[in-house]
Amino acid sequence: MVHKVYALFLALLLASCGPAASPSPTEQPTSNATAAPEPAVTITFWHGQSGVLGDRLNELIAKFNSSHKIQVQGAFQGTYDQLYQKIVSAIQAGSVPDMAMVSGPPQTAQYWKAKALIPVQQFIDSPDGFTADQLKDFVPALLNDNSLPVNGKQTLVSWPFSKSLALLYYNPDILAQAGVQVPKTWEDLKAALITVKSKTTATPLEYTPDVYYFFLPYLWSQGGDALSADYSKAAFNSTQGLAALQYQTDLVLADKTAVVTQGFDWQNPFAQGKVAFAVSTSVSRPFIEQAMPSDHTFKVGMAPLPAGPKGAATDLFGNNLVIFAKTPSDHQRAAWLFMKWLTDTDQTVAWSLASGYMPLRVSAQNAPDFKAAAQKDDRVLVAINALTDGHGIPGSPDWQKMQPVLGDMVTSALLGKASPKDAITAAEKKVNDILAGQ
Amino acid sequence: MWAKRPRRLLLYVAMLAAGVVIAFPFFWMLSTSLKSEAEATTFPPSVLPAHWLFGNYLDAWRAAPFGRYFLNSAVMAAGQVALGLVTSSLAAYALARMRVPGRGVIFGALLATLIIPPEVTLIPNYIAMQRLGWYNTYVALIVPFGASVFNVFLLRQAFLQLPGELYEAAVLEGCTHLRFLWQFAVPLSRPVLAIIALLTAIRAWNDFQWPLIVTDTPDLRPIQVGLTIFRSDVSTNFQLLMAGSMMAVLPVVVLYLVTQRQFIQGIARTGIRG
Amino acid sequence: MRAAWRRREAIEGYLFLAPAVLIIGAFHVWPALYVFYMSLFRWDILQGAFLGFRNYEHLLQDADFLRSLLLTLVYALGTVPLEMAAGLAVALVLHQRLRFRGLFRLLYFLPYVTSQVAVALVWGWVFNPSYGAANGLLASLGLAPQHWLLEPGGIFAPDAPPSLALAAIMIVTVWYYLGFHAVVFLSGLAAIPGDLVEAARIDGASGLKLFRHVTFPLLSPTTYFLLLIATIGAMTSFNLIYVMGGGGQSFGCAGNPLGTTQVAALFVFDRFWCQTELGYASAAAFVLGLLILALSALNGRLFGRRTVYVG
Repeated sequence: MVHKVYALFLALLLASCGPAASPSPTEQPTSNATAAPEPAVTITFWHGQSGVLGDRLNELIAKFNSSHKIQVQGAFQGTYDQLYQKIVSAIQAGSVPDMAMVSGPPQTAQYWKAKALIPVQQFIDSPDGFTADQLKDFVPALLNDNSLPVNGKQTLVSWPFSKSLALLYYNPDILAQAGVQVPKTWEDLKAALITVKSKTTATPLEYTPDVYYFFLPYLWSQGGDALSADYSKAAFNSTQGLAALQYQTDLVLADKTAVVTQGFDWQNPFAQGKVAFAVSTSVSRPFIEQAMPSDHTFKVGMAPLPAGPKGAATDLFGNNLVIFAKTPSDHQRAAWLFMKWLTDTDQTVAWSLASGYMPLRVSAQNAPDFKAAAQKDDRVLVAINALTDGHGIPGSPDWQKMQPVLGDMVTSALLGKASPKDAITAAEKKVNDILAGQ
Repeated sequence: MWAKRPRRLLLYVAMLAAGVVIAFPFFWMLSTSLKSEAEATTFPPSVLPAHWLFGNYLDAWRAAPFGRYFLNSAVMAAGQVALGLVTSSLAAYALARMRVPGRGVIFGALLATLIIPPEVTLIPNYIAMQRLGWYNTYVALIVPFGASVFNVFLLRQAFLQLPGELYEAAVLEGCTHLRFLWQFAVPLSRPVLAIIALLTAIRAWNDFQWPLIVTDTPDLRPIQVGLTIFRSDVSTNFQLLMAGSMMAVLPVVVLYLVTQRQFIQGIARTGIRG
Repeated sequence: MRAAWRRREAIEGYLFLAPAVLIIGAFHVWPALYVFYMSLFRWDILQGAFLGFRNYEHLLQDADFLRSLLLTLVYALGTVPLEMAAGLAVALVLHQRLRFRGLFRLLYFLPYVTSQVAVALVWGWVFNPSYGAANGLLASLGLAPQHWLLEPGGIFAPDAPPSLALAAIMIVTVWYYLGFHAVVFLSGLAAIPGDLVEAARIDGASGLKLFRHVTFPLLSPTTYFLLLIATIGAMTSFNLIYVMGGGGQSFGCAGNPLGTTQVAALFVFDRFWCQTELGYASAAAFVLGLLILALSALNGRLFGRRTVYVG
């Protein structure tokens, strides 16, 4: 089984590396006449990729090192949480690496607040960077996800690398059996779950009740938001927020069409064909397919999250890259050149096909390897098409304090411990306390 | 005699039943390590694998430089045990048998260090490793755990229990403290030393957080960090993780079997009827 | 002459103590002092304003912190006596001449050698609400299935601790540490001089009487030691509760569900590493430490005096 997966990844990687192995003109698309020569330095890169993805990342690093004077030393530092702990420790000790992976905007905001980062914008505006036109090749939602307000101006502080988003997973066999279509709106989904419950023996929906999978996308799709635009106040205690909480409470408590699980526990029953719908990140697919019994396989269905009156919305997950302020400037520049190379069309396609994360550039979607992959399997495009609806997780340095409050809000409503109205009011007060610095 | 037999049998049955319950999760680990990916995650779970895939162990072993990880764990555990036995024997002896002014205060101060949860001392310790230049070395993996209050405490209890006459006789013979410690106190406390060695080795072998924080390269990382290769942020490769964990547990089990002879010696002479 | 000899002994004693004291001082005492220093500041990622004892004042009004102390107490009271009693019982049985004694000794010790990540995974399966063995057992007894690790409701009363989630973690804790206690008790039993027991037996003591009047008193140093270590361990317990309480999940922090498994060490971890309030968390760690110190002193007063040393 593992061999199969390895072989699959390897085949995809070889296929995508084929043309790039020879020096290709696309390697340095912005080779700018005024750019200084490349510094011959060794930089350290702390990341959180292990297992198969870690191997693929190491291969990319090796490829970079073999064709550049800059040498990158990648170091796996554990899960995103452990990586964060190590970076916080390193900031205390004044011994930060040159660059690192961060799990999302809240962590970036934390490091930024601690004055530990140098904004990527500085390099984008330099001769090593991009022109406004070239920058347009990157999906706007991704650039937003990496920007923080600096002196009132949205500034790119981090740079995207491995991005995924929340999607609706479904089992087409169960949907056919129940005679339901892939739902387009939240109301469609609610009705489809009831039909599945009455016509099949499958569990209609399994999901993990954290704030990301239902509450935020639903809220956004109604035109609501979690926090005020300047991150100074809670904004979710609104008719939209209440509707978002009421919706999932109805599924679990009234319709009894949704079952609550922990973490990624839903993946296994889903893989065994016992669950009709699930909500998860776009990178879950290979893991579902791996867990499928060989005598009972099905084609995992993937669709964008259902839409509300203001269209569809989904949250951006995955990781971004940052450069630290406390390292020499030639190291910082080297780190930027490596980051930029990583998101060149060739590399972003290779990484996307190997990992299941999305390619970050519009041009990547037209790259031959990617087109070929999409032709073979159109599900590759589902996540990319949903990218325009992507919302970053709020880039407030205090988000990590609010996340458990919102999690408890959802849990207490789903368990019937508090009415949605009471739960949301209590959470609003706590979040406002946090934002007011208590 | 007749009355004893059924009671004895009952005892065996009870012990075995309790043993099975206690060892069940371990058995599950073993069973899962031999299943296919699909079977490992199926529900309801099968008790025994449908096909016994011993190849999982080979796959797990090949997934990362596990030879190196085992070596690093062994160096770390052996270093901590060796250093720990020496430092705690000396300190415990001084606290138990020597007239050292202020030893009560010292002992109290040492005990007080047990009360701060290690989760918050990570940062100062990390800073210390950086300042001492020990970051990313074996020294960082061994020395900070080269003395433990727990061990000193346990050994002090043992040294206090040594017969007083023995010590007085030895002193009359002109025996120095170091010699007495080495020739009498240590051999007579072998059970406790064996326990200390075992528990130190287990702690070192299963440590994860500290080695991860103070090392950067696979060259220095131990087995528990190596096992993370089977987990990602969205999924776990159960059967390989369990195969890897079984391999990781094996040396500890062997160590337990070897050392337990030491700390349960002398049973023949005592024995309590149940 | 005698004074010189004493001084020599004192110097030698300090030399004996030096290696351990140096290591413990550098890697336990100094960090603890540093943590105390941090607790006097507002300290996010970086050191901020000096607050004096205001973090401490704030803690005493923090309902989450007070709840975490209560949960710690519940957790310690629910696990320490149980794991010690079970460990002692197992040790007493395994101390006898018994067939397959070696096998039994291994069986009971297995949980303690297993890494806690594997432990959390396996027990996570057992307690899985949809397909776990625990609900399978309930079903075969005709009882309603439970949410186990996801259930914030109390086992005695809906809103009183421990929640079913914490109770499940307490079961795992007892399971995990039983072997540890058994092994240390076994070594304690082995250290009891055989002639003392023999003498008592000749005097006609046997069975329960022998245990009550001879074995147990002679075992008291071990018992006292284990009680102290286990109490401190339970009060600072983190790993098992963290991995079982959903702490390791990618989006969660410590103490799910609804904070009902957030014991003091988890509270400290949550504030320190998840909410990045390093100063506030350090203050909480210190308060917890002082409480443990007080409890250990009480412990020593209650039990320490009754400790019997041979020789």
